[in-house]
Amino acid sequence: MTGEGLLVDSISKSYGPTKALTNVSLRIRPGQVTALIGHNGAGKSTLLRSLSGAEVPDEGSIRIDGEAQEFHGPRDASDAGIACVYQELSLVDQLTVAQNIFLGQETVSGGLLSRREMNKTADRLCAEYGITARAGDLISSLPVAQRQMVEVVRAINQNAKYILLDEPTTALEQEQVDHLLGIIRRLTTEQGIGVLLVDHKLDEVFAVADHLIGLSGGQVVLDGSAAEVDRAAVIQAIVGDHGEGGPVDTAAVAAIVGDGVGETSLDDVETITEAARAREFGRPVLEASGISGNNLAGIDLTVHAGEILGIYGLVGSGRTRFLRTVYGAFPLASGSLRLLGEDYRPSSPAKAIKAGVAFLSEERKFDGFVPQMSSIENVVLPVLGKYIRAGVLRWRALKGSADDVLRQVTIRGEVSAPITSLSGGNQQKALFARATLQAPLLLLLDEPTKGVDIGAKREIYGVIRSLAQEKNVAVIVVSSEEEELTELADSIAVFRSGACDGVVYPRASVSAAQLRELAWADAAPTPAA
Amino acid sequence: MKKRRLPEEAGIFMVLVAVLLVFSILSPNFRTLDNGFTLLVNGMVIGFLALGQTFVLLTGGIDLSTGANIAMSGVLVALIMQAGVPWPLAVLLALAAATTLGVVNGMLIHFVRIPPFIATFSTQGVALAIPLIITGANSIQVKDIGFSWIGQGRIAGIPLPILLLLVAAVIAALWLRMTRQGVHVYALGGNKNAARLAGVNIARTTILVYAISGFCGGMGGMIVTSRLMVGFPATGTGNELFYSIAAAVVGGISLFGGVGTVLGAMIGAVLIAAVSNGMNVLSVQSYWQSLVIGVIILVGVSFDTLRRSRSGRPVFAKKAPPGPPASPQLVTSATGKS
Repeated sequence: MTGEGLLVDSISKSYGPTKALTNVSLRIRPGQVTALIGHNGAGKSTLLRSLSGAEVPDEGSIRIDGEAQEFHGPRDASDAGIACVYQELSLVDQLTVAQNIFLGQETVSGGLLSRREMNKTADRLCAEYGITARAGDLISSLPVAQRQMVEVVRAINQNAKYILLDEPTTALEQEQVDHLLGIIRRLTTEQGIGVLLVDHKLDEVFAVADHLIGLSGGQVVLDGSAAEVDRAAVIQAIVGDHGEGGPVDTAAVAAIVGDGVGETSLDDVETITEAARAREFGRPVLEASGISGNNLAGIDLTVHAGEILGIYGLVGSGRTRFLRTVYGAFPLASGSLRLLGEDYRPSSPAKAIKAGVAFLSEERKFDGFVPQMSSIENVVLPVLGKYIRAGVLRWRALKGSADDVLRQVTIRGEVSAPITSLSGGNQQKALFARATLQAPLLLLLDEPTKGVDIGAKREIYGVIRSLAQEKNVAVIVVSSEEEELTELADSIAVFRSGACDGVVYPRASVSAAQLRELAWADAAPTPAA
Repeated sequence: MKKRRLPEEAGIFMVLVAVLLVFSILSPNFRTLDNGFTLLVNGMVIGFLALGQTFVLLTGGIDLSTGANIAMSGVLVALIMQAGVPWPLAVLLALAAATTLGVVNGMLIHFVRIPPFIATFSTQGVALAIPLIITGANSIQVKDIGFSWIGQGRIAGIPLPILLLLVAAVIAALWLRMTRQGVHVYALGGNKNAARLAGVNIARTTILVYAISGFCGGMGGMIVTSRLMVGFPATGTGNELFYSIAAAVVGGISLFGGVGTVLGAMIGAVLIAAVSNGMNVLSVQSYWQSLVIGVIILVGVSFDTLRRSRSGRPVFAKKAPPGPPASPQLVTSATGKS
């Protein structure tokens, strides 16, 4: 028993002065799901990278069934039977499902590819694991959930004995999550594979894990059987080192823990009328009516000065498209937008910025910041035009303004170093500083706390609230976390398959469970107004 | 308490000093003032091309048509003067044509979405053919003596081409650093998607950098034709393009965009010119020059690629890298530094 499984024995890893992992020991048992929990920066990624051979630990050892392993590259790890499925998938978009599953291990007969045989195997695997894609489908034609499962299937096909899954459910909808968790369970019980599951959602963790490992500040702070550890202990462990004196943000914790979809009814959900909102908040800042085209199917929505309007909806319900249309990043096909009562047709983000609209992207790395530039330069990028004298940029003034707004959001890190040197949460705060500096009328936030740890989350909520309450900014927040909206937003609207009927629920009247139900209600049984 | 980081150009500058020293020791002819001017004047054409190339490379593009632009604009200016147009006007017209070629490049790349390599590769062919077609491959004599001033004139003893490039480089460096559009060039090269969402006008910026590169190619054409006083349709088919990319790359301009400075590219241009000139002075067979420059490009690009792959690893994005702390003036000076 002692030597069984994938054993990590007191490994440590530092990046310069930063200790990412300190004496971390854990065991991944074959046929069991071991869940790895911890906030961002706790060392989960470093641990995963060490196990998958992408990173060589400074100290400690990794053993499989008692045999010491040395991984100098991902190849070594996969030879040893370890497969890692990262959040950023490693499939080749231009190849088919079968080609991806067999990539690097193609079946060959007589020097030629046995395409038919590979396709047959791929189809069988897909059918077995409930993947609707066919062997000949291009990866680029599949939705994210399917791609993820193709990657899992690839690992199985390559005879992985241990599969590491890095937050596999973040991009998935509930139904897909259940499906994936089902697959994970089968991997362990039927194939005897050892799974390490990195997951932020305790609901999912408790639904599937046999064993829990909590990581905090690069150290193991929790290690126990899922049957014996309770949620309170897990939360305690995760947020343990976040003591900055302040109380734990209940909403942020709730977002991780989830409060379970109970049997709820929509009968007691109240709505709030436009007139009432106009009384409670300022004048209407953005009025959208009948926004359609580009997969949007009629969106009516109004947001007022000083109001935080939450938009809830499933992934793919058009929330992001709507925000980007308002920001001029997608063309407005039909319908009308009014900004402060005047016609507003943004033809580009530059025009939207000029009109007083600011936007924070969901994908910081993809289209949020310029990685080679410092935080200061990233912050001032949209407002350069306001700091020009005789055609020349006033860098001193720019730097002063940037310093001011960066200080307001309390960045931890060097703001004149490239922004990539900051942690995810601090990068996001820098982008909030950018939005603050723009002094917008309307702020569009797409998943503002995605990939951000609990401490930073709380600070970001504070920034959003102060923008709305003190600067009277109209804020639209898109979020997939119900608890984020019920905590943060003044009013909440729900998107369903590209449409929004303009019905708005005041925060106090709607629970997280009811929001989920509203989003799932296809035919939209409009609750009693 | 903070350690000041050496400017990124320091390394390449040291290499330049070393190369100059070695050649000076090997050849007494190399270290004369006259040869110094020869070296620089020969380097000016490469320098102008490298300057234009810098803008394009900073946005993550590449301009393969600049060498051909020398031939096109150089022959055009001779033809226009032959038609009796006074030389200053002829120069303006030829430069306008050269810039137009750049604008066409930029529009093909932005609006038709042709990859820069292919777009400028194609226009290179077009630009090379135009002077050959017009002249029937004959060279065009320039009779207007005034025109020789551009390539052969001196102010305070310093050859005019050197002054022209110096002025252009200073303006370019200040423009990149001190104007909004300049910062947008770096932003576009660093992350096009983020730049667009931050309000950068991608179309204008893209077309502008190729236009600048076209203009610089035209300046190269003016200097070449003025020095020879002949519009020679087969110029620019040689090593000019090759050398200009080499100059920018060894000068620290990243082929991946977003990183580099004009100063670096100019030091790179002088280095390439020095290597080329030094080998001439030492009577090394000219065939060796391409080989040496090719190796220089490879070394430069290898450094760039290694630097990029090191800083591009996601792990480093999560943890603060142990890099040297930034200097206080980094805001104004770090635009291109990674």
